[in-house]
Amino acid sequence: MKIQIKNISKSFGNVHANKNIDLEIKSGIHALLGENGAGKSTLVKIISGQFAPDNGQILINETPIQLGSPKESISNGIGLLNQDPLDFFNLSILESFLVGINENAPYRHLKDIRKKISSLLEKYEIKIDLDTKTRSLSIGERQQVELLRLLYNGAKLIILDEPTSAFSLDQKKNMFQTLRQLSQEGIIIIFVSHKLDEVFEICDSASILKYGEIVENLVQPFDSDQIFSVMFDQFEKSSIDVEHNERLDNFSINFLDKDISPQVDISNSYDFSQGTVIGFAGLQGSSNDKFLQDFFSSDKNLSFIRINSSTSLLKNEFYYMPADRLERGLFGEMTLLEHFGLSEASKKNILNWKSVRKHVDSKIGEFNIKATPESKMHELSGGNQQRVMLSLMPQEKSILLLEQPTRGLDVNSAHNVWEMILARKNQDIAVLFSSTDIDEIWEYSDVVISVHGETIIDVSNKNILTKDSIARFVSGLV
Amino acid sequence: MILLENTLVTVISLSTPLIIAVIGETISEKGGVINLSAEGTIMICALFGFIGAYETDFAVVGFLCAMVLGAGISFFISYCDINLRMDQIAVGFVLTILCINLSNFLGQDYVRINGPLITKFSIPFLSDIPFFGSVLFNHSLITYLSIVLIPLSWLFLNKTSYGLAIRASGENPSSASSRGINVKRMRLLSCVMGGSLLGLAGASFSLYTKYGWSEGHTTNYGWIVLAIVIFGGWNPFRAAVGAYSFGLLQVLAIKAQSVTLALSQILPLLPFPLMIFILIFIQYINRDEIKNVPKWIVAILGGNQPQSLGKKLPEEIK
Repeated sequence: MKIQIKNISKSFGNVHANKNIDLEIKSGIHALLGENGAGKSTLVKIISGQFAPDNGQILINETPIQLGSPKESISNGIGLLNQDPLDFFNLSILESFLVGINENAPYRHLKDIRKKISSLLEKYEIKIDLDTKTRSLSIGERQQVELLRLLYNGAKLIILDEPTSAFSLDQKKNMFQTLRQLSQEGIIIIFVSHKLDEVFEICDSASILKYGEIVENLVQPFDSDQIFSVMFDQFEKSSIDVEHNERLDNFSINFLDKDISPQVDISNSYDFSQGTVIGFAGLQGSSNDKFLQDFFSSDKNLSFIRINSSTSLLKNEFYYMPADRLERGLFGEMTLLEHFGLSEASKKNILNWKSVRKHVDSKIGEFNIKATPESKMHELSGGNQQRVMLSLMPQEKSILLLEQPTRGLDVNSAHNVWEMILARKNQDIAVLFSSTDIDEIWEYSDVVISVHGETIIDVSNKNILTKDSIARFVSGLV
Repeated sequence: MILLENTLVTVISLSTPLIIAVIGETISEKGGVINLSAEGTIMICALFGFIGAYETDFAVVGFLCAMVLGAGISFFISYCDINLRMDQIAVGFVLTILCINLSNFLGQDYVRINGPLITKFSIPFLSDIPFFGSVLFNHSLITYLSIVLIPLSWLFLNKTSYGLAIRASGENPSSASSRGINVKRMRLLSCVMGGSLLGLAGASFSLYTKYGWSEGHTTNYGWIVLAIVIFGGWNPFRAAVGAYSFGLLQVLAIKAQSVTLALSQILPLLPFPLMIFILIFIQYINRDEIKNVPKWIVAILGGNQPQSLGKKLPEEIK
């Protein structure tokens, strides 16, 4: 089996998602690397037939295949392992193998099919009963079974798109073992990931995508410095010093042991002075947002924050701003006025709309919101919605938990939002935010907590870090 | 023994429409469409079944009319769902009200008149078996059909490629589509199949179990059907048990009328609290951390609603 990708280009509007991509893979496990938006998933979707490219062709064993049809790709031996596979919850595993099977009347050969699948399971040492419902499998098990399903359907080339994002260490080990075995049997594997530690561990060769183009092809042994310098834009050392304020209301963050990566040996309790901006850095799909949610949910079994060693904080001492503004933060069909009325309503039984309106008017001016008190939230732009969320912050001293505060905003709006956050920095106890953008983490944090997968891999003051080191941490390299 | 025999005979023939309707609704919901118009569909199909049979003097024509009408109504629902991306619940509910009122209006000329009758058909030899012969093999054809439908629909859903494709589409349309299944067609197919069975059920009311037509002839049976489908965990056999139990309670209620009025009024209500209890229980045993429930109970009562039931298809499905 040999796959040649020739001159593939695909653009959406003015954005070149893929530009003249040339790639040839003959064997082994090949990694596709790149930052978010580098064009990895577009390329994967073109290979697996979900997107038709604007031009270019793909050859399997020197013969061009028809592009833009999943069926055609499958019949040419290309199998895509989704992040969340085998999701017919109420079907048994055997049944989910049968869905969309090429054979006519699969129920007539059920015995043979069952035997074939069982022997596959045996071969790869997966102990799962074929009659269990998919619902009762873990995500890791589902992915392994899905991998076998692809093989069963005759896949010779398997694409894994961020396969390990929901894996435990054990599951990862099993998966990698299966992958190695497959690779030895001559099956080509394309491994899409931005977790560099995994790529280093398992891949034989790699291509780095950037702005939709392949900028570098590499083979083992990989040079991590080289990969970094190619993958990310050049980082210059920052000279900003972190201010240390000697003030009251110092606070501490306690993490649970299971929140700390087993790879590192760091403390799970940290003290900070008031007004510290703490950035939770992590890749997309990592748990960096979850830590903020945990702090807010104030469940005893989760990581928690303490102030001046008092035992617990009240919920109204936090201001939590979720990442998806319209789904969890604001009410799309309600007006600005009603939003302010709502936060007032938790304090009073009878609302004085006149004073609420006055309050809204002053906030509109203060936060530069381009809307009237009667505007509905879904009518506003993303930047304006974000400013509304910020304007709803309580007046009192609080702990701000901001989940991806500038997600989906353009540079100007993002800057604007940060000015507003930092204006409160000295007044508030703490600002905790999460982001997948290392530049943002770098620019605004005093302390950076790097999250890889589900666990924390590093907690450091910014002045001993570089952007490179943060990028390494979030990619899982210690 | 005679009493038991008579009771069972009554339950089985009385439950005929309910069984057919419950199986129809189950098939429809397995494909992902809640046919919420069941109440209205059954009602108007009962009327048109009767009209068809009365005007032509052939009961078969009546059944066919009702099936076609039921299929038409469900086609409309699935068209609104699949092509116009409207809410299934809203469309179904509006159709219910429309069909009920329309049947009352159109049926004025047919109230309490006589049409063709369906006769009993004893199966030779089998009906001579003591007890079972009269309980199972001495009914009308439509009752036999309702009994046969139970295993047939189960086989269709669980042992054929079409059934599998329908279930896969009802579970996860995106995954099914990416495996090359025409999800829209499967949704339409299951909904129309289910709808035509609902129509057949309507006709078996007006032509058999509750002979004739009157205003509000089948009131509440549609809602009961929707509830029994849930009770049955989207499994034809369990749904049939539910339907027969409901029939049994009704028969008992009629018999209890001569003894005590209160009991006869309470008995028909029993299925509803029971259903709520079963639903809570299903939720409970489906949770992963629950391990102390015996396996056989899970096997009997487990099962979950199709994951995409009532949801619009994702936009990317063509």
